Amino acid sequence: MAQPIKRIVVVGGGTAGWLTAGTIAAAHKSEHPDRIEVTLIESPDIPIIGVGEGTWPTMRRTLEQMGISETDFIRECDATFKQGADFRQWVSGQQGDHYYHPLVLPAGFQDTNLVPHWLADPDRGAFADTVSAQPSICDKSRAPKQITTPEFAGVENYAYHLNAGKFAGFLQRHCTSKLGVRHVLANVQAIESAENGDIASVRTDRAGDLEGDLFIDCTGFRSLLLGEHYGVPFITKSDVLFIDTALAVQVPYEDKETEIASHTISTAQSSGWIWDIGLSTRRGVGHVYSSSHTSEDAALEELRSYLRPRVPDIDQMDVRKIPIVSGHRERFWVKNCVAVGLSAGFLEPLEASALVLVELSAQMIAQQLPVDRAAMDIVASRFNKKFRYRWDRIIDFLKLHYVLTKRTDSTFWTDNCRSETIPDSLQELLELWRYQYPWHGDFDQKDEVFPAASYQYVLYGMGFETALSHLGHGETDRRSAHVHMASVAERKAQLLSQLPGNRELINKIKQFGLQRI
Amino acid sequence: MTNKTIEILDNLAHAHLRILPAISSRWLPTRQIEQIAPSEILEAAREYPVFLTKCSQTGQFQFSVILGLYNDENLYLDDEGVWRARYIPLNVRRNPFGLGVGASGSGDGPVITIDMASARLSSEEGAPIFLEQGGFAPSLGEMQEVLGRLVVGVDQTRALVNNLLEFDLIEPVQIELKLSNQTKLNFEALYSVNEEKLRELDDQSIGQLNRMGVLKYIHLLGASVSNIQSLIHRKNAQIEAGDK
Repeated sequence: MAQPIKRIVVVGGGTAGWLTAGTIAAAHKSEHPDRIEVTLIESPDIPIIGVGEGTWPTMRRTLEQMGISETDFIRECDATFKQGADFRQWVSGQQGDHYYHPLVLPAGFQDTNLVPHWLADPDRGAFADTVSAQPSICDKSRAPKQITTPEFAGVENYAYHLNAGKFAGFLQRHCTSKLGVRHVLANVQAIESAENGDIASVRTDRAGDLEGDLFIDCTGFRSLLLGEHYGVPFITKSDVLFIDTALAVQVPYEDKETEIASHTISTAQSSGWIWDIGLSTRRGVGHVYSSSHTSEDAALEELRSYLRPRVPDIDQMDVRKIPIVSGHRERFWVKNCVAVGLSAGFLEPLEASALVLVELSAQMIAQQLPVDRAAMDIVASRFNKKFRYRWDRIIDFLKLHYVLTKRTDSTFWTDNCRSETIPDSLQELLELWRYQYPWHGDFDQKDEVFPAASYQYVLYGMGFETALSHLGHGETDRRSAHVHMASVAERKAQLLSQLPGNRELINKIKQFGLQRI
Repeated sequence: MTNKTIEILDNLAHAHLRILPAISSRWLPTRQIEQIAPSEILEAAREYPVFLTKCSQTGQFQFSVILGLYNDENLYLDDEGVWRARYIPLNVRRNPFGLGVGASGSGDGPVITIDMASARLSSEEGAPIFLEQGGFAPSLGEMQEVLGRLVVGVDQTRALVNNLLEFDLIEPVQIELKLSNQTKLNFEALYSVNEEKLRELDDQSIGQLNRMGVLKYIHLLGASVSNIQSLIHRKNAQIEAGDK
């Protein structure tokens, strides 16, 4: 072969760096003398950002494929189970205004669209509650599995809440001890180009020149290789997603027995929203807001009044201020360099899209790893096309949460509803769904980041109105819909009698561990 | 102790108590699965199918005998509810006795407890627990040995299971049965030893398992599977008796 791809160099040692290094190393683990080598260069001087504390269910497979034990992960990263999100005060802003976006698909989602049948019922309850059992499980802070359920398997679908700082260190130990990833602690000082414009090597302050065939840029917002070296422009999305600042705090539980919420709680504020994530040792709470719609003082006061009823000493709490720039690079893979994580882009944390994009990127790199340099440009162009599509779909889906609001209490909410801030693709879908119920065929790809089910949960959770149509009400459809809805009620009762509390299960896992089988 | 009817055994307070000899559903909650200790596997495997199951409280593997085909069914009970078998698990025989922590805390080691609510206890029938002078009667001496074997069994189970896990030999098993009335049944949540993986182990590992005494248990588990037939026969007989 002319130029085989064997030396993979990951630059950056945050969560993105280690997840990418681990995914590639695990996928190509081999005893072959010609195997690929994965090296990760981490700066000893740059701290990691580490605020991403919510994952998607995909993280289970990502960890399992890296050969990680779920028990170790839960014990060492303060991890808990997440079964979706509860969106509070996003529609009217009044007390009691809330809806769930669970992680399970609506019952019978493969064959029957329950939306028309739910809409046709004049006595209908909440949509998510009618088509899935998970909201009831979340209401009672139950875990999605039992102590007898094997690692990574669930009775209900689940993701995690985790301590991002501990997660990076945990992944590092696993990657270096089990997957043969070489860990180099050094600062990158210069980038050496080859004749064809590829990166030939990176020069470091204490580990010399490190050569590679493929460089992965996990340098965070700095985007050292893709942004600084290759000058790939950043496309800002702040005209669509207004949030640009986060104020984050860590909050203790009242006592050791306080129940851990088994979902993310997202509560809308006057000019943003507050996340509330329960880890096993503490809660992580933060206010993300638009600085052009409110002041830092006002945002801090909203955060304090959110915490006040339950948390003592809130005035002494250490508040971290983190700037957020919503947007992404124009391309992600240039020459022999691909960016993963914040170096590729970032969107506000509303649907925890940061880590899932890292996982999807790492998987595609691992699966389509070019064997030879000659194949790399084709893989790069496919990667760029796929991920541009994915960023656009995520942006649409995040914006959806804002445009369906009925809040008019601040310019933040009314500005969000102005049509010039809504992407054309989303406007088209919203127009379609005024007449038709969201369904599989509404999207282009079979592996959509957000399937039609997610749109159903948000649209009908927020009271979107689709006109009742003459379609989808045949006798077969109706019978099948009623069977599925009845099965949801049955499943609810069964799960509530079986599933332990979230904290109860986490404590048991710490004490006894889960079995691998 | 959470259960209010459980008391620490006392030769004054409990001097006149007697226990009924038969293992009977009169005092025994009927269960489909009963846990056993490794020291029981040899005898239990002759009578019952022996599998690994997970403890519902801890998720840890334990050894269990299967007594019925449905929840709360024990096919070894006769018409009077008396358990008829060549071997009955220690964890059943120990009733109504158990082990608890002494009143003065953990320093004393375990003490024998008694569940005063048990219908196995009587003041007239059965064998006395204490001798007239206050010493242990033979029935209680026997119980002491049973409880001792159960205590040792906890560590033995952990060691044995860890050996099996270390060699990655435990696998979930699916069992499908068909009864004479055409009813089909599925057993779930049972685990056994993956014989294919056992065959693939190198000689050194096999030798190691043999020296640790693990191999003989693996063979006993494998052989005990044929006892499922005996469960089916008993169930079919019950069905046919019901049809008449």
